[in-house]
Amino acid sequence: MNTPKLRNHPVACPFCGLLCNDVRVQIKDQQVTADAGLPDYCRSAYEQSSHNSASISPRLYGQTCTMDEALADAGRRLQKARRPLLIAGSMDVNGARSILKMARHYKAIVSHTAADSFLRNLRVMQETGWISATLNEPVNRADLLVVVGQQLFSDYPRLAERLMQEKRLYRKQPAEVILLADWQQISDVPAELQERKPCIMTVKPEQMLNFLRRLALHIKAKDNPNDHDDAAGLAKKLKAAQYSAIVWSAAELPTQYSDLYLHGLAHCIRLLNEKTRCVMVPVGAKDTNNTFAQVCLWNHAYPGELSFQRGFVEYDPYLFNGQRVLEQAEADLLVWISPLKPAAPPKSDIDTIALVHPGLPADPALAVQIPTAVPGVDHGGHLHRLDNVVVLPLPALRQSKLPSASMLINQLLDSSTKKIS
Amino acid sequence: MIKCLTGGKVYDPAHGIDGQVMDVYMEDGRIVSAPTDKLERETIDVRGCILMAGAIDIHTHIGGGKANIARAMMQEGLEGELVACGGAYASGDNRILSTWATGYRYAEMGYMTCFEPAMLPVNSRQAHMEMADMPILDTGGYVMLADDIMMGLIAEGAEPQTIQDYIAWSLCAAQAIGIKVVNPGGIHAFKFNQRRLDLDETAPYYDVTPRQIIHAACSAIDQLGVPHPLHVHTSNLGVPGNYLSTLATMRAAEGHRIHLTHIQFHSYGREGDHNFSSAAAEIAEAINCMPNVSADVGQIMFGQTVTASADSQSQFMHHKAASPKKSTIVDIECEAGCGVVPFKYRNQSFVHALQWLIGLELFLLVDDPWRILLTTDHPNGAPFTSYPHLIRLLMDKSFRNSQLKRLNADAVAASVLPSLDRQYSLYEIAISTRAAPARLLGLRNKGHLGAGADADVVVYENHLDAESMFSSPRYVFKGGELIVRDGKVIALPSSYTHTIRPDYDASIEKKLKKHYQDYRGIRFNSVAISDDEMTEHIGSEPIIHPCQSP
Repeated sequence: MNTPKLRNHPVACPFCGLLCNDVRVQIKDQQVTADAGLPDYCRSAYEQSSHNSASISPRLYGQTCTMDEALADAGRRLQKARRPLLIAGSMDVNGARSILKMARHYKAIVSHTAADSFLRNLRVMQETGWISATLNEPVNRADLLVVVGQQLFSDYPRLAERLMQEKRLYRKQPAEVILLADWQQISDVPAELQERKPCIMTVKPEQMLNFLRRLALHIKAKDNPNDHDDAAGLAKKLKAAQYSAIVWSAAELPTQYSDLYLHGLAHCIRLLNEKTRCVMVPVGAKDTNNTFAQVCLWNHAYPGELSFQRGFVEYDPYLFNGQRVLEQAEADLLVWISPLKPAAPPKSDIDTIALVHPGLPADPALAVQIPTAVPGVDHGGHLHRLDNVVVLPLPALRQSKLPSASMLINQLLDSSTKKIS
Repeated sequence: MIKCLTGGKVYDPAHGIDGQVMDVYMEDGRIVSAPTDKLERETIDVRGCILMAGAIDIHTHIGGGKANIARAMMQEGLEGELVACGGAYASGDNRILSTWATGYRYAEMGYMTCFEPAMLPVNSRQAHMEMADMPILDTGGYVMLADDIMMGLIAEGAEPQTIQDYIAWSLCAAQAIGIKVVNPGGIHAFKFNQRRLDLDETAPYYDVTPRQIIHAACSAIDQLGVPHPLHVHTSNLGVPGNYLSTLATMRAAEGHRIHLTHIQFHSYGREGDHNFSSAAAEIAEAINCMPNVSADVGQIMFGQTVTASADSQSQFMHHKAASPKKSTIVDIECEAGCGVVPFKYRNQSFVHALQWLIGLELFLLVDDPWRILLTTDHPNGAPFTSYPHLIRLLMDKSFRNSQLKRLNADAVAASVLPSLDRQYSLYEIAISTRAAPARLLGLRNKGHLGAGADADVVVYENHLDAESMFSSPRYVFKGGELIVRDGKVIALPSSYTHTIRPDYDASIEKKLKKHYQDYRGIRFNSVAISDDEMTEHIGSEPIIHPCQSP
C-alpha cells in the first residue's frame, strides 16, 4: 500500500511570487497535497498539478496522439511559419532560457503574457531609478510600513503573514502599519494586519496621483500642526520614522497613468532619503514575468518583448507585445508556453501550439497541445522571488512521465537541426 | 592528436620564460611536454607571433542582480552595437553586455576565465546562472560575507574557529572560490541612516568596527588555507582623502594576505585647490613594502559607463553625480546592498582626469607586477573591452604621454605620471593578466604554459601597437580547441565554475539554520547550492580546487 509520504523538508511553493519555502506537502499515489493551513490558492494549485501523468496525452486539434506525432507536427508548423510568435506564460528559469533558445532558432517574436506590469516598473527605473529593498529587509528593521493597494494581498496570499513576521532582527517593537487604499472596513483587511491595528488612509485609485503630489510637498515642507490633510499626516510619520517601507504592486495600478504614480512614489522616497531612510518594496511577479524578464535581461540585455525576425535581437515593448501582434494579425503561428499554470493561450485566429500545464483541459481549437511537467512538482528548477533578488530552488516532488517544457523545446530544436543538416 | 604551435615567442612568467622561441604542445585539453616519439601531430606555424596562456580577469562584474539592474536601467544606446554570436545575435553596447556578448568579447581578446567579485549569498544562484549562460568562459565568484551573520558573530565574541567555519560554509554554500567584503560594516550602517563609516568607527547595533571584520576574515582565510586572500573593497570609496583608510586597511590585516580591489578608487588625497589629489605614491609605497598585500587597479577610461556595486552607502553618496541623472539603490535581506549609478568620465573634468592618472600611476609605481593586476572594475571604471587600450598605455610611454594633451591640464600638472618612464614589457603584461591572477586564485592549471596546464593558449600577431595586438589575437585555444581565429569566435566549448571547498565543523549550520528561519524567511535547506543543482539546473559544472594557500 502506498501510504501518504510526508517530505522531511519543507519545500518552496512555485505558485506565487512569494516562493514561501516552508510548505509541507504529502504525496500519495502521485497526488500532492499541501498542508491544510495553507491558503486555498496554494492548495488548489498543488491539487491542479497532481495529474496522473500516465493518462495525459498530447493532442492534435483535440484528438489524442503520441508524443512523437505531436512533436513532429509542431516541428513542421514551426519550420513552415514565417512569423512565429512565442508567448511565455508561467515558467521557471530553464523554461525561460529554452523559450529564448527557440526564439533565436526560429527567428521568432517573443513576448510575455504579463509583460506590462513588469515594464511599468522598468520605465520608472530607466527614467529616474529608485530606492528599494528586498522583502526581509523592512520586515526586520522597519518602524513604519505603508502598504499601497489591496489586490496584492490576493495575488500573494501570504504577503500579510510574511510582512508581519513575529521575529525581527533589529527591532523588538513591530512596525506601525498604514494602509493606503480604498479599504471600506477593517474586517476586509487581512487578519495578520488587523492584529496590528493599522491606520487606514482611504485613497481611491483616482485620487492617488493627487495624494502623492501632496505627500511630496509635505515631505519637503516643515511640519505644520494645523494641517490636517491625510498626506500631511503621512509625511510627518515618514519623516519621523527611522526606516520606513512603502509596499506596492505595479500590477494593480491604473494602466493609463502608472508611470506617473510610480514616479510620484519614487520621488517621495528620494526626498525622504535626504535625511532619513525610506525604501519602496515593489512586489511583482505576475505569472513569473519577473523571472522571464531577468533571464531576457542577462541573455539579451533587454527585459523581453523581443524579435529575432531580422537575425538579431530587437526590443520594442509596443511593437513586440504579443497581444498587439495577435490583434494586428502580424504572426502566422502562436506558440504558448505555460508549464506552471493551466492557463489557456490568448485567443487568436492563427494555428496555436501549446506547451502547457497538464491541468489545461483538451482544447480542440489548439493545433497541437502538449502537456508538460510542472516545475516545482514534477521537476526541479528555479524562480525569482517577487523582489527579483532572491532566487530559490524548486523541488521535484514526484516522478512524472511528462517532459519539462525545456526538454520539449530541446527535442523540437534537435529534430529541426537534424532535418536542416 | 597532439597539436604543436611552432616557432612562436613564448611569454610564460610562471616558468620564467621571457620571449623565448619555443614550441608549445597540446593534447587532450592540456599542455604537454615535447613528445619524444614521432607520432602524427598537427603543426600550426606561429612564427613571428607572441604566445601567452589564456588571460584571467580577477575582478569583473559580469553576473548577478546588479548587472541585470544596470542592463535594465541603461537601455539608451543599446542599438549602437549588434554582436554576432554564433548564428544568433546578442545585443549589447560597451557598458553592461549581455551574457552572450560578454563571452564572445572576452574570448575574442584571449580571456577565458573570469571572476564575478561580488556574489551576494541570496543572489549567488542568479550570478552562477548568468555566468553559465556566457559562452566559452570559465567563471567563478567571490561570495560576500553577510553583514547580519558576520557582524553578529564578531559582536557575540565568537571564537576564531567559529568564524572560520562560517567563512568555509559560505564558500561551499555559494559555490564560490573567494570571500569578499564590501565597505565592511558600511552597507549595514547605511540602513541605520549612517552615511559614512571609517575603519575604526563602530557600526550601529553590533558595535563592530570595519577593522574587526577585516582582521577576523583575513586571519580566518589564512587559517583555512583559502588560496585567494580576502578580497576587499575598502571603506570610503571615491571620497577625497580615502587613502588613509586604505593604508589603515592594509595594516588591519596584520600581516595576513589581503587583496585590495579597484584600489584606484581608494587612492585619493585631499590636497590642492580642488581638495582632490593623487595619493598613488603613498599607496604604491605601502604595497611595495607589504608583501602580504596585492591589489587590482580599476582603471577608469573616458566615456559613458554605469557603475554597479554592492556598496549602497557609497553609491548613494555619489548618486547626485550620476550621468544620466538616475540611480537605483537597494537594501538586500539584512546581508548586503546594491547601488547602480550611470557615470560619464570626462577628460576635461579635473577629478575624472586625475582618476585616470592615478590608476596609471599605481600601475607604474608598484614595483612587483605579481601584486598589481590589470582591471577596470568592469563596468565601474570602464568596460573590459578597453583592456587592449589600457595595455598600450602601460607599454608605450610616448603613446601615454600623447594622451595627456587631451586631459584637464590642472590634473596633468598635479600628477607625477608625465615623469614616469616605466613601460610594461610583454613579460609583465603576461604576469598581470595571466600568471598573477592564477597564482592569487590558486588556479594551478591556469595562467601558465607548463606541462599539465589547461591548453588555454593565445597567439598574438607581433604588432608594434599593443592595442591592435591585444584586441584581436590570431588564434585562441581553449582546452586545446581552436575557438577564435583572426579575432572571430568559431567554436563554443564547454565551460566550468571554479570553486574551493574548505572543511568546516557542521555544527555552524545549526546556528545559521536558526538565523535563516527566524529572520530571513528562507528555510536553511534551500540556502546551499549543491553540485547537482549547479550541473543540472544552473548549467555549469563545478571544478573544485585544492584548499591550500600559496
